[in-house]
Amino acid sequence: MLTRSRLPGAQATLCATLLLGITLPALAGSGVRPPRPAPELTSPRPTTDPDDEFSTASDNRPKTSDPLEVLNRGIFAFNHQVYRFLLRPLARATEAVIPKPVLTRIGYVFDNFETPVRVVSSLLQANFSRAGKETGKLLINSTVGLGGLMRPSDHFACLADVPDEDVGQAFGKWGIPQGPYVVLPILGPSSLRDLPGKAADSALNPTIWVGSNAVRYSLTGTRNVLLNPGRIKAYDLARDGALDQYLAIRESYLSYRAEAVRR
Amino acid sequence: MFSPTVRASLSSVVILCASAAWVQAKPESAETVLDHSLHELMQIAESNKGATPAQLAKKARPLLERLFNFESLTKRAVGPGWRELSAEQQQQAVTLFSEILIRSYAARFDWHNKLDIQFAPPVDVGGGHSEVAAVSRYAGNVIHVLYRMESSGSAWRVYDVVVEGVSMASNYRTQFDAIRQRGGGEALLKSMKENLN
Repeated sequence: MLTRSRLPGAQATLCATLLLGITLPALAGSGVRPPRPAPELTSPRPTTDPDDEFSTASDNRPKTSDPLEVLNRGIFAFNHQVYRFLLRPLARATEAVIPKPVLTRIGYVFDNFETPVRVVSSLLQANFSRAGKETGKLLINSTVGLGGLMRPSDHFACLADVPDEDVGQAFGKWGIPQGPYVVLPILGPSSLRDLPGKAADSALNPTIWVGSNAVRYSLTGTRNVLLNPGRIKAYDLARDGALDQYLAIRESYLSYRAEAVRR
Repeated sequence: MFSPTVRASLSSVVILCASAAWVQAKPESAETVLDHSLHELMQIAESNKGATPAQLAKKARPLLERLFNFESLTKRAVGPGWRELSAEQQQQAVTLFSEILIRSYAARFDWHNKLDIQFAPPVDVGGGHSEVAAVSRYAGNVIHVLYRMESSGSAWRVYDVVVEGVSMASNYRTQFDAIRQRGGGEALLKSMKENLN
Protein backbone atom coordinates (compact mmCIF):
# COMPACT_ATOMS: atom_id res chain seq x y z
CA MET A 1 0.00 0.00 0.00
CA LEU A 2 0.96 3.62 -0.22
CA THR A 3 3.18 4.87 2.46
CA ARG A 4 3.54 8.43 3.63
CA SER A 5 6.50 8.93 1.39
CA ARG A 6 6.87 11.64 -1.20
CA LEU A 7 4.43 10.36 -3.72
CA PRO A 8 1.98 13.17 -4.32
CA GLY A 9 0.85 11.70 -7.60
CA ALA A 10 0.09 8.34 -6.11
CA GLN A 11 -1.49 9.92 -3.06
CA ALA A 12 -3.70 12.06 -5.24
CA THR A 13 -4.74 8.93 -7.04
CA LEU A 14 -5.53 7.40 -3.69
CA CYS A 15 -7.65 10.46 -2.93
CA ALA A 16 -9.47 9.97 -6.19
CA THR A 17 -10.01 6.38 -5.22
CA LEU A 18 -11.37 7.33 -1.84
CA LEU A 19 -13.69 9.88 -3.34
CA LEU A 20 -14.93 7.79 -6.16
CA GLY A 21 -15.35 4.87 -3.79
CA ILE A 22 -17.65 7.05 -1.69
CA THR A 23 -15.67 7.09 1.49
CA LEU A 24 -13.36 5.34 3.84
CA PRO A 25 -15.47 2.39 4.97
CA ALA A 26 -15.28 1.11 1.45
CA LEU A 27 -11.64 0.49 2.12
CA ALA A 28 -11.88 -1.26 5.41
CA GLY A 29 -12.92 -4.73 6.31
CA SER A 30 -13.18 -4.29 10.04
CA GLY A 31 -14.10 -1.66 12.54
CA VAL A 32 -11.47 -2.57 15.08
CA ARG A 33 -10.22 0.53 16.87
CA PRO A 34 -6.90 0.03 18.56
CA PRO A 35 -6.22 2.43 21.41
CA ARG A 36 -4.24 5.35 20.03
CA PRO A 37 -3.61 8.90 21.06
CA ALA A 38 -6.13 11.26 19.53
CA PRO A 39 -4.54 12.87 16.50
CA GLU A 40 -4.99 16.52 15.74
CA LEU A 41 -8.50 16.84 14.33
CA THR A 42 -8.08 19.82 12.10
CA SER A 43 -10.85 20.11 9.61
CA PRO A 44 -9.83 20.25 5.99
CA ARG A 45 -11.85 23.38 5.43
CA PRO A 46 -14.08 23.31 2.40
CA THR A 47 -12.74 25.02 -0.67
CA THR A 48 -16.16 26.52 -1.27
CA ASP A 49 -19.03 27.33 0.99
CA PRO A 50 -21.57 24.50 0.99
CA ASP A 51 -24.39 26.90 0.19
CA ASP A 52 -22.51 28.34 -2.74
CA GLU A 53 -21.69 24.92 -3.98
CA PHE A 54 -25.31 23.90 -3.67
CA SER A 55 -26.34 26.88 -5.73
CA THR A 56 -26.77 25.98 -9.35
CA ALA A 57 -26.82 29.61 -10.40
CA SER A 58 -23.10 30.21 -10.48
CA ASP A 59 -19.86 28.37 -10.25
CA ASN A 60 -17.08 30.33 -8.62
CA ARG A 61 -14.49 27.59 -8.46
CA PRO A 62 -11.02 28.60 -9.63
CA LYS A 63 -10.34 27.52 -13.18
CA THR A 64 -7.74 24.84 -13.67
CA SER A 65 -4.76 25.76 -15.80
CA ASP A 66 -4.28 22.95 -18.29
CA PRO A 67 -2.95 24.43 -21.54
CA LEU A 68 -1.19 21.15 -22.31
CA GLU A 69 -4.37 19.09 -22.02
CA VAL A 70 -4.04 17.44 -25.43
CA LEU A 71 -0.46 16.40 -24.74
CA ASN A 72 -1.28 15.48 -21.16
CA ARG A 73 -4.13 13.25 -22.27
CA GLY A 74 -1.76 11.52 -24.70
CA ILE A 75 0.75 10.84 -21.94
CA PHE A 76 -2.09 9.75 -19.65
CA ALA A 77 -3.15 7.21 -22.29
CA PHE A 78 0.45 6.07 -22.70
CA ASN A 79 0.82 5.68 -18.93
CA HIS A 80 -2.35 3.63 -18.88
CA GLN A 81 -0.82 1.12 -21.28
CA VAL A 82 2.42 1.02 -19.30
CA TYR A 83 0.47 0.36 -16.11
CA ARG A 84 -1.64 -2.25 -17.85
CA PHE A 85 1.05 -4.28 -19.55
CA LEU A 86 4.09 -3.68 -17.37
CA LEU A 87 3.45 -2.30 -13.91
CA ARG A 88 0.28 -4.22 -13.07
CA PRO A 89 1.84 -7.62 -13.81
CA LEU A 90 4.88 -6.50 -11.82
CA ALA A 91 2.62 -5.48 -8.92
CA ARG A 92 0.87 -8.87 -8.97
CA ALA A 93 4.21 -10.65 -8.97
CA THR A 94 5.47 -8.52 -6.08
CA GLU A 95 2.36 -9.20 -3.99
CA ALA A 96 2.52 -12.90 -4.80
CA VAL A 97 6.08 -13.12 -3.53
CA ILE A 98 6.10 -10.64 -0.63
CA PRO A 99 3.41 -10.74 2.06
CA LYS A 100 1.51 -7.48 2.54
CA PRO A 101 2.69 -6.86 6.12
CA VAL A 102 6.28 -7.17 4.92
CA LEU A 103 5.62 -4.73 2.08
CA THR A 104 4.12 -2.28 4.55
CA ARG A 105 7.09 -2.56 6.91
CA ILE A 106 9.61 -2.05 4.14
CA GLY A 107 7.59 0.97 3.04
CA TYR A 108 7.97 2.31 6.59
CA VAL A 109 11.74 1.89 6.37
CA PHE A 110 11.94 3.92 3.15
CA ASP A 111 9.61 6.49 4.66
CA ASN A 112 11.91 6.79 7.67
CA PHE A 113 14.95 6.98 5.42
CA GLU A 114 13.42 9.91 3.52
CA THR A 115 12.97 12.06 6.63
CA PRO A 116 15.54 14.67 5.39
CA VAL A 117 13.15 15.63 2.58
CA ARG A 118 10.45 16.47 5.10
CA VAL A 119 12.81 18.17 7.57
CA VAL A 120 14.37 20.44 4.94
CA SER A 121 10.96 21.21 3.42
CA SER A 122 9.66 22.19 6.85
CA LEU A 123 12.69 24.39 7.47
CA LEU A 124 12.20 26.09 4.09
CA GLN A 125 8.77 27.09 5.38
CA ALA A 126 10.26 28.22 8.70
CA ASN A 127 8.14 25.55 10.35
CA PHE A 128 10.67 24.60 13.02
CA SER A 129 8.10 22.74 15.12
CA ARG A 130 7.32 20.36 12.27
CA ALA A 131 11.01 19.90 11.47
CA GLY A 132 11.58 19.02 15.13
CA LYS A 133 8.74 16.53 15.13
CA GLU A 134 10.12 14.84 12.02
CA THR A 135 13.52 14.62 13.65
CA GLY A 136 11.92 13.16 16.76
CA LYS A 137 10.10 10.57 14.67
CA LEU A 138 13.34 9.65 12.93
CA LEU A 139 15.14 9.15 16.24
CA ILE A 140 12.37 7.07 17.81
CA ASN A 141 11.57 4.95 14.77
CA SER A 142 15.24 4.36 13.90
CA THR A 143 16.06 3.14 17.41
CA VAL A 144 13.01 1.74 19.19
CA GLY A 145 11.37 1.05 15.83
CA LEU A 146 14.33 -1.04 14.61
CA GLY A 147 15.43 1.12 11.73
CA GLY A 148 11.93 2.19 10.85
CA LEU A 149 10.40 -1.27 10.54
CA MET A 150 7.93 -0.19 13.20
CA ARG A 151 6.41 3.18 14.01
CA PRO A 152 6.46 3.59 17.79
CA SER A 153 6.26 7.35 17.18
CA ASP A 154 2.56 6.83 16.33
CA HIS A 155 1.95 6.21 20.02
CA PHE A 156 2.87 9.78 20.86
CA ALA A 157 -0.02 12.14 20.17
CA CYS A 158 2.25 14.96 19.01
CA LEU A 159 4.03 12.70 16.50
CA ALA A 160 1.09 10.61 15.36
CA ASP A 161 -0.19 12.94 12.70
CA VAL A 162 2.60 15.12 11.36
CA PRO A 163 1.58 16.30 7.88
CA ASP A 164 3.95 15.31 5.10
CA GLU A 165 6.09 18.04 3.62
CA ASP A 166 7.97 18.35 0.36
CA VAL A 167 9.78 21.09 -1.48
CA GLY A 168 6.84 21.70 -3.82
CA GLN A 169 4.73 22.52 -0.78
CA ALA A 170 7.41 24.94 0.41
CA PHE A 171 7.22 26.69 -2.97
CA GLY A 172 3.46 26.89 -2.49
CA LYS A 173 3.92 28.43 0.96
CA TRP A 174 6.20 31.02 -0.58
CA GLY A 175 3.30 32.08 -2.78
CA ILE A 176 4.42 30.47 -6.02
CA PRO A 177 1.27 29.43 -7.89
CA GLN A 178 0.67 25.84 -8.97
CA GLY A 179 1.02 26.70 -12.66
CA PRO A 180 -0.13 24.51 -15.51
CA TYR A 181 -0.96 20.88 -14.85
CA VAL A 182 1.52 18.40 -16.29
CA VAL A 183 1.36 14.64 -16.73
CA LEU A 184 4.77 12.98 -16.66
CA PRO A 185 5.47 9.73 -18.47
CA ILE A 186 5.10 6.85 -15.98
CA LEU A 187 5.33 9.16 -12.93
CA GLY A 188 1.89 10.66 -13.55
CA PRO A 189 0.36 13.94 -12.31
CA SER A 190 2.44 17.01 -11.54
CA SER A 191 2.46 20.76 -12.13
CA LEU A 192 4.90 23.42 -13.23
CA ARG A 193 5.55 24.26 -9.58
CA ASP A 194 5.90 20.65 -8.49
CA LEU A 195 8.37 19.65 -11.22
CA PRO A 196 11.36 21.48 -9.66
CA GLY A 197 9.95 20.47 -6.28
CA LYS A 198 10.17 16.82 -7.25
CA ALA A 199 13.74 17.33 -8.49
CA ALA A 200 14.68 18.92 -5.16
CA ASP A 201 12.98 16.10 -3.26
CA SER A 202 15.05 13.59 -5.20
CA ALA A 203 18.23 15.49 -4.43
CA LEU A 204 17.37 15.48 -0.72
CA ASN A 205 16.52 11.79 -0.70
CA PRO A 206 19.32 9.85 1.03
CA THR A 207 18.77 6.89 -1.27
CA ILE A 208 20.72 8.80 -3.92
CA TRP A 209 23.54 9.78 -1.60
CA VAL A 210 24.65 6.38 -0.41
CA GLY A 211 27.24 4.03 -1.83
CA SER A 212 28.05 3.36 -5.42
CA ASN A 213 25.77 3.78 -8.40
CA ALA A 214 24.85 0.12 -8.13
CA VAL A 215 23.67 0.58 -4.54
CA ARG A 216 21.73 3.72 -5.39
CA TYR A 217 20.00 2.16 -8.37
CA SER A 218 19.19 -0.94 -6.34
CA LEU A 219 17.66 1.09 -3.52
CA THR A 220 15.64 3.27 -5.87
CA GLY A 221 14.52 0.27 -7.90
CA THR A 222 13.55 -1.68 -4.80
CA ARG A 223 11.61 1.27 -3.45
CA ASN A 224 9.69 1.70 -6.68
CA VAL A 225 8.95 -1.99 -7.04
CA LEU A 226 7.69 -2.22 -3.47
CA LEU A 227 5.52 0.87 -3.77
CA ASN A 228 4.23 -0.14 -7.18
CA PRO A 229 1.38 -2.44 -5.98
CA GLY A 230 -0.15 0.39 -3.97
CA ARG A 231 0.09 2.79 -6.88
CA ILE A 232 -1.43 0.34 -9.33
CA LYS A 233 -4.20 -0.60 -6.95
CA ALA A 234 -5.10 3.04 -6.39
CA TYR A 235 -5.02 3.68 -10.13
CA ASP A 236 -7.19 0.66 -10.90
CA LEU A 237 -9.71 1.55 -8.23
CA ALA A 238 -9.97 5.11 -9.49
CA ARG A 239 -10.90 4.01 -12.99
CA ASP A 240 -14.31 2.48 -12.29
CA GLY A 241 -16.32 5.36 -10.93
CA ALA A 242 -14.90 8.15 -13.07
CA LEU A 243 -16.73 9.31 -16.16
CA ASP A 244 -13.52 10.97 -17.33
CA GLN A 245 -10.50 9.40 -15.67
CA TYR A 246 -8.09 12.10 -16.80
CA LEU A 247 -10.19 14.89 -15.29
CA ALA A 248 -10.89 12.93 -12.11
CA ILE A 249 -7.20 12.41 -11.42
CA ARG A 250 -6.22 15.95 -12.49
CA GLU A 251 -8.72 17.57 -10.13
CA SER A 252 -7.81 15.22 -7.31
CA TYR A 253 -4.13 15.98 -7.71
CA LEU A 254 -4.54 19.76 -7.83
CA SER A 255 -6.98 19.87 -4.89
CA TYR A 256 -4.80 17.52 -2.88
CA ARG A 257 -1.72 19.65 -3.46
CA ALA A 258 -3.58 22.86 -2.60
CA GLU A 259 -4.71 21.27 0.66
CA ALA A 260 -1.20 19.99 1.41
CA VAL A 261 0.17 23.53 1.06
CA ARG A 262 -2.60 24.91 3.26
CA ARG A 263 -1.99 22.34 5.98
CA MET B 1 -54.30 1.86 47.30
CA PHE B 2 -50.76 0.69 46.41
CA SER B 3 -48.07 -0.14 48.86
CA PRO B 4 -45.01 2.14 48.89
CA THR B 5 -42.95 -0.58 47.21
CA VAL B 6 -45.46 -1.02 44.39
CA ARG B 7 -45.75 2.77 43.98
CA ALA B 8 -41.98 3.06 43.79
CA SER B 9 -41.83 0.30 41.19
CA LEU B 10 -44.59 1.90 39.11
CA SER B 11 -42.86 5.27 39.30
CA SER B 12 -39.60 3.69 38.10
CA VAL B 13 -41.38 2.05 35.18
CA VAL B 14 -43.07 5.31 34.21
CA ILE B 15 -39.78 7.22 34.42
CA LEU B 16 -37.96 4.59 32.40
CA CYS B 17 -40.66 4.57 29.71
CA ALA B 18 -40.65 8.35 29.53
CA SER B 19 -36.85 8.39 29.28
CA ALA B 20 -36.89 5.77 26.56
CA ALA B 21 -39.47 7.75 24.60
CA TRP B 22 -37.41 10.92 24.99
CA VAL B 23 -34.22 9.16 23.87
CA GLN B 24 -36.05 7.72 20.87
CA ALA B 25 -37.49 11.10 19.93
CA LYS B 26 -34.18 12.97 20.26
CA PRO B 27 -32.54 13.17 16.83
CA GLU B 28 -29.03 11.82 16.54
CA SER B 29 -26.20 14.30 16.09
CA ALA B 30 -24.41 14.38 12.74
CA GLU B 31 -21.37 12.75 14.31
CA THR B 32 -23.44 9.96 15.86
CA VAL B 33 -25.23 9.30 12.57
CA LEU B 34 -21.87 8.92 10.86
CA ASP B 35 -20.37 6.77 13.58
CA HIS B 36 -23.34 4.41 13.68
CA SER B 37 -23.66 4.22 9.91
CA LEU B 38 -20.00 3.50 9.31
CA HIS B 39 -20.05 0.76 11.91
CA GLU B 40 -23.18 -0.69 10.40
CA LEU B 41 -21.47 -0.68 7.00
CA MET B 42 -18.52 -2.50 8.45
CA GLN B 43 -20.79 -5.06 10.03
CA ILE B 44 -22.53 -5.62 6.71
CA ALA B 45 -19.15 -6.14 5.08
CA GLU B 46 -17.96 -8.39 7.89
CA SER B 47 -21.02 -10.63 7.63
CA ASN B 48 -20.74 -10.76 3.84
CA LYS B 49 -17.08 -11.56 3.49
CA GLY B 50 -16.37 -13.07 0.12
CA ALA B 51 -19.52 -11.63 -1.41
CA THR B 52 -19.30 -10.32 -4.95
CA PRO B 53 -19.40 -6.54 -5.40
CA ALA B 54 -22.95 -6.85 -6.76
CA GLN B 55 -24.07 -8.78 -3.67
CA LEU B 56 -22.37 -6.32 -1.35
CA ALA B 57 -23.94 -3.39 -3.20
CA LYS B 58 -27.37 -4.95 -2.73
CA LYS B 59 -26.80 -5.45 1.00
CA ALA B 60 -25.33 -2.00 1.61
CA ARG B 61 -27.72 -0.04 -0.61
CA PRO B 62 -30.47 0.64 2.00
CA LEU B 63 -27.95 1.97 4.49
CA LEU B 64 -26.11 4.07 1.90
CA GLU B 65 -29.39 5.53 0.67
CA ARG B 66 -30.20 6.46 4.26
CA LEU B 67 -26.76 7.93 4.97
CA PHE B 68 -26.28 9.86 1.74
CA ASN B 69 -28.58 12.45 0.25
CA PHE B 70 -27.94 11.37 -3.32
CA GLU B 71 -30.27 13.99 -4.77
CA SER B 72 -28.39 16.78 -3.06
CA LEU B 73 -25.05 15.24 -4.00
CA THR B 74 -26.11 14.93 -7.65
CA LYS B 75 -27.26 18.57 -7.73
CA ARG B 76 -23.90 19.68 -6.42
CA ALA B 77 -22.01 17.42 -8.79
CA VAL B 78 -23.94 18.69 -11.81
CA GLY B 79 -23.70 22.28 -10.55
CA PRO B 80 -24.88 25.13 -12.75
CA GLY B 81 -26.04 22.69 -15.41
CA TRP B 82 -28.73 21.30 -13.12
CA ARG B 83 -31.30 23.85 -14.28
CA GLU B 84 -30.70 22.95 -17.89
CA LEU B 85 -31.92 19.42 -17.23
CA SER B 86 -35.61 18.60 -17.48
CA ALA B 87 -37.33 17.19 -14.40
CA GLU B 88 -37.16 13.74 -15.94
CA GLN B 89 -33.47 14.13 -16.73
CA GLN B 90 -32.81 15.33 -13.19
CA GLN B 91 -34.50 12.26 -11.76
CA GLN B 92 -32.54 10.04 -14.13
CA ALA B 93 -29.30 11.75 -13.17
CA VAL B 94 -29.93 11.12 -9.46
CA THR B 95 -30.75 7.46 -10.08
CA LEU B 96 -27.74 6.85 -12.33
CA PHE B 97 -25.25 8.78 -10.20
CA SER B 98 -26.30 7.05 -6.99
CA GLU B 99 -25.95 3.72 -8.78
CA ILE B 100 -22.42 4.65 -9.91
CA LEU B 101 -21.44 5.58 -6.36
CA ILE B 102 -22.98 2.52 -4.73
CA ARG B 103 -21.37 0.18 -7.24
CA SER B 104 -18.04 1.91 -6.80
CA TYR B 105 -18.33 1.50 -3.06
CA ALA B 106 -19.02 -2.20 -3.34
CA ALA B 107 -16.31 -2.82 -5.94
CA ARG B 108 -13.66 -1.13 -3.86
CA PHE B 109 -14.21 -2.69 -0.52
CA ASP B 110 -10.87 -3.81 0.84
CA TRP B 111 -11.20 -6.74 3.19
CA HIS B 112 -7.58 -6.72 4.20
CA ASN B 113 -7.15 -3.40 5.93
CA LYS B 114 -8.67 -2.29 9.18
CA LEU B 115 -10.19 1.13 9.59
CA ASP B 116 -9.49 3.29 12.59
CA ILE B 117 -11.49 6.50 12.42
CA GLN B 118 -12.05 9.26 14.95
CA PHE B 119 -14.60 12.05 14.63
CA ALA B 120 -14.45 15.63 15.84
CA PRO B 121 -17.63 17.26 17.14
CA PRO B 122 -19.79 18.64 14.31
CA VAL B 123 -19.31 22.27 13.30
CA ASP B 124 -22.51 24.13 12.46
CA VAL B 125 -21.91 26.08 9.25
CA GLY B 126 -25.43 27.49 9.10
CA GLY B 127 -28.44 26.85 6.92
CA GLY B 128 -29.02 23.41 8.41
CA HIS B 129 -25.53 22.28 7.38
CA SER B 130 -22.86 20.73 9.57
CA GLU B 131 -19.34 19.55 8.93
CA VAL B 132 -17.78 16.62 10.73
CA ALA B 133 -14.01 16.28 10.52
CA ALA B 134 -12.51 12.84 10.89
CA VAL B 135 -9.03 11.41 11.02
CA SER B 136 -8.55 7.90 9.80
CA ARG B 137 -5.67 5.54 9.79
CA TYR B 138 -5.73 3.22 6.86
CA ALA B 139 -2.93 0.88 5.80
CA GLY B 140 -0.36 2.94 7.66
CA ASN B 141 -1.57 6.29 6.29
CA VAL B 142 -3.25 9.12 8.17
CA ILE B 143 -6.13 10.49 6.11
CA HIS B 144 -8.18 13.60 6.91
CA VAL B 145 -11.80 13.48 5.89
CA LEU B 146 -14.53 16.10 6.13
CA TYR B 147 -18.13 14.95 5.95
CA ARG B 148 -20.52 17.68 4.83
CA MET B 149 -23.96 16.96 6.15
CA GLU B 150 -27.38 18.54 6.04
CA SER B 151 -30.39 18.14 8.21
CA SER B 152 -32.95 16.29 6.18
CA GLY B 153 -36.20 16.10 8.13
CA SER B 154 -35.21 14.63 11.47
CA ALA B 155 -31.95 13.06 10.31
CA TRP B 156 -28.50 14.16 9.19
CA ARG B 157 -27.42 12.99 5.76
CA VAL B 158 -24.14 13.32 3.91
CA TYR B 159 -24.11 15.47 0.77
CA ASP B 160 -20.35 15.61 0.15
CA VAL B 161 -17.16 14.00 1.36
CA VAL B 162 -13.86 15.86 1.26
CA VAL B 163 -10.79 13.62 1.50
CA GLU B 164 -7.48 15.43 2.00
CA GLY B 165 -8.97 18.55 0.46
CA VAL B 166 -10.55 16.75 -2.49
CA SER B 167 -14.30 17.16 -2.64
CA MET B 168 -16.30 14.34 -4.19
CA ALA B 169 -18.99 16.70 -5.50
CA SER B 170 -16.43 19.12 -6.90
CA ASN B 171 -14.40 16.34 -8.51
CA TYR B 172 -17.44 14.96 -10.28
CA ARG B 173 -18.58 18.44 -11.24
CA THR B 174 -15.42 18.94 -13.27
CA GLN B 175 -16.14 15.73 -15.16
CA PHE B 176 -19.85 16.42 -15.59
CA ASP B 177 -19.21 20.00 -16.76
CA ALA B 178 -16.89 18.87 -19.53
CA ILE B 179 -19.35 16.27 -20.78
CA ARG B 180 -22.36 18.58 -20.52
CA GLN B 181 -20.62 21.40 -22.36
CA ARG B 182 -19.82 19.04 -25.22
CA GLY B 183 -23.25 17.44 -25.59
CA GLY B 184 -25.71 18.79 -23.03
CA GLY B 185 -27.79 16.85 -20.51
CA GLU B 186 -28.37 13.92 -22.83
CA ALA B 187 -24.63 13.38 -23.23
CA LEU B 188 -24.20 13.46 -19.46
CA LEU B 189 -26.90 10.83 -18.92
CA LYS B 190 -25.47 8.73 -21.75
CA SER B 191 -22.02 8.90 -20.20
CA MET B 192 -23.42 7.81 -16.82
CA LYS B 193 -25.20 4.88 -18.43
CA GLU B 194 -22.02 3.86 -20.26
CA ASN B 195 -20.14 3.95 -16.99
CA LEU B 196 -22.62 1.49 -15.51
CA ASN B 197 -22.50 -0.90 -18.49
